Amino acid sequence: MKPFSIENRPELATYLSGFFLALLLTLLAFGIVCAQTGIALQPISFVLGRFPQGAERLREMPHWLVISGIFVLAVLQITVHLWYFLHLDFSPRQRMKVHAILFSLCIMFIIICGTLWIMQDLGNQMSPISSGR
Amino acid sequence: MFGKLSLQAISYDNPVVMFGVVLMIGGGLAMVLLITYFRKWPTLWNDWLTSLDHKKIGVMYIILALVMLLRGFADAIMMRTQQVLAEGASQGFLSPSHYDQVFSAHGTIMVIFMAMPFLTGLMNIVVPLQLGKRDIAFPFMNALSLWLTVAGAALIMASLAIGEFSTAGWSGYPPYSELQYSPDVGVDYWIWALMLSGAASTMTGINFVTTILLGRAPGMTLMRMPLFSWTALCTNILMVLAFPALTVATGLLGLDRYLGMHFFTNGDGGNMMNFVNLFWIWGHPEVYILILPAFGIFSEVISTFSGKRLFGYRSLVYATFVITLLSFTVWLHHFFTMGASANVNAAFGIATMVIAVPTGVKIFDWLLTLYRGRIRFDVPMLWALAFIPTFAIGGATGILLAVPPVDFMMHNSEFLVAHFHNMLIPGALFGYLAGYSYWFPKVFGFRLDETWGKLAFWNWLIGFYLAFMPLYALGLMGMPRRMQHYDNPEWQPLLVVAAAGAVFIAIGIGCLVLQLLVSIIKRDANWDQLGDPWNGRSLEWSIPSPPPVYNFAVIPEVKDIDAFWDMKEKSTVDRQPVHYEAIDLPKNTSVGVVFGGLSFVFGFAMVWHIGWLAMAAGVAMLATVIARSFDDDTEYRLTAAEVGQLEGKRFRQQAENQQACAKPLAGQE
Repeated sequence: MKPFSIENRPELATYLSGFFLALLLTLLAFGIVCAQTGIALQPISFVLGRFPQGAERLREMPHWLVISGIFVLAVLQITVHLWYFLHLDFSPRQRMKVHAILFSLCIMFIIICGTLWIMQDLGNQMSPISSGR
Repeated sequence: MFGKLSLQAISYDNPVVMFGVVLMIGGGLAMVLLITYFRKWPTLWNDWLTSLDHKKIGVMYIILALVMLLRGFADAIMMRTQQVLAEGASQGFLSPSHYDQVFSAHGTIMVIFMAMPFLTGLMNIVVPLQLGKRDIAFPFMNALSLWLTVAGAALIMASLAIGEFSTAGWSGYPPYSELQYSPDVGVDYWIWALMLSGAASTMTGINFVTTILLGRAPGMTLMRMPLFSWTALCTNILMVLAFPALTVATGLLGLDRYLGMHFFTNGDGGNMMNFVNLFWIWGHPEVYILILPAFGIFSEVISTFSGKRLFGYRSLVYATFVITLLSFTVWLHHFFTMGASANVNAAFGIATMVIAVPTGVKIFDWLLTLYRGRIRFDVPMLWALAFIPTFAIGGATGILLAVPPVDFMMHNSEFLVAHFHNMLIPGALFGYLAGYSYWFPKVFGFRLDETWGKLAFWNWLIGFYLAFMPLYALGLMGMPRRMQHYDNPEWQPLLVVAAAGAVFIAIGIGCLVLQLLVSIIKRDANWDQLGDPWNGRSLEWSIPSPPPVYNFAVIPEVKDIDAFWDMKEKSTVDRQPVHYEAIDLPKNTSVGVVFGGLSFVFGFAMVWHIGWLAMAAGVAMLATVIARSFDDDTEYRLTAAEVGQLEGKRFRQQAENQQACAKPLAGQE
């Protein structure tokens, strides 16, 4: 590995900001879960203790918001990794990679939504399971 | 000590199985004796098994495919014979369990171990040559893919002799494939064969997407790539995206069977429908994985043998890509009748019909390429011409099946069997066979014998119609698929016709084998050293046959869609360049073949629950790969002077040959 020097300072700055963003997004996700469940994770409960109002608000978040919030945080996390660590951007040199990722996302969307749809649908079509078992 | 394995696993009492085993072992022994007699072991090991040359790996893939074609066809003719015999009082010659193994093996082999290696082999040989490349992106990973596929195929062959194969069909639906209903090792053989070859296909996909997207010859933009390379790109994208679903599905089924989990079991919260869902998320793209490269081959062949540029190149590229995307939107049509609501079925029925549109675009493009072309009826062209109408019939029946109410009537019947054979035999296999005779002279430097090739073609074509058209009628008459025995005398005459078709196909396969033998014996008559036997249009024909190990001494510059045709028109071919450059090439390595052998042992040990052996093989596999990763000396260099020498020799030879026999080029535009 090359030693850090003035010349590759900008790169270091990108990595560091990426690192802090990733950390922040992770803490946020854990914060929501900790506030909701009351599980005490040391650094997180310390922060939550400092902001009782915010913690209260997190605790009272409705279930759907928690799920979709964590989902959004996960997507942001992936984006941060791609942008800061894998150096993906919209420059012409990277166009192929961006296309590949967008295409894969599109396929993933089809597969995941299709799976959820059909499994839900099949579940609805079933007669309810008797409580005897 | 030996897990579930004991001498009882070998069914001495079953004459049919034993005949197959004797044939298999006899064939293997004959090969070993012949190789020993001709002292070819060093050649085999040094020049082939350990080679990382993409052309040789491609040839080995195709040999595997042809061997497995024989095995898969043996299964087919057994099924046809059984269904002729087993009417009313007669039970035929196959027991129900044996018959179930035969159709399961037939499907698995034909899709995974015949079609996949065939198309992978063709891609290996042709794609780098068409794109003006000296090698593929990851030559070592390519060898791993090959030997993993061979290991998977070997597992299936082993299941014939030791133990039994799955009786759950090629799709292995739970709960029947769960331990509760299939306690023997058949399903385990199926799982491990699919795991090994699935991993191989995923790696092939990654390898070729990278190969095609990066580092093509200068000027070879995406929109100048020959159509076979385009379809190869799309097929490999599908492989990368779809094969993990198969690995997950079979992996979870394996967890159910080995560790008592409940992903797909009847009780304890399992949901078998998710297996069906995952399986077809792979399974439907898989049929496009098989068929797209064949579309590419047909495009090349039709354009070459019409002496015309492909009509609507752009529309063909777009159609290919639309099929790639849409192939992921139709998988639920495989379970229209498994309890989904009308909305789901309607959506996926419409998606299925929509996918016929780009396919139709392709058909018209091919027809319009033929229109006013100067058509030459060589063997590759015959396969392509037979494909168009035959495939259209299969497509039409597919549209019928895409209508959910019709599917409720036809599903699980012989109509369905006829439909997908009507797609995959003309659509995929005819394409591969066209590619086989089209590119054979490129790989070996001599043409395949024409007479035997035409005989093979006509027998295949007549055999196909005789074997599968009656199945449409049988399906409409209500005959279900996969029947070991039936009680309806009305079905028998049509089944006799179908069996006659199978006999024609058997003759066709015999002709293919003879064609190969005759061509090798009479190779001096069919020698082609110029490297352009068909008056071709793309870059693979611009280099000599067989190509030198580095493919292109000087990387060509591409200025047109039909790059080589363009060079011929501007007569820039056959000029010896002044300067050469040094070329780096991958060294041979035995790691690939050793890894494949170990993975076979691993799979076999897992099938029979031989814990210590599986552990040992697993550790050894890991160790080989780690050891390889520490090897930094994986390439060798041909210096510019060496390349110059080799090329100079070739140009001198070529000049002599041209003087000796000034052959006119066929079919000038």
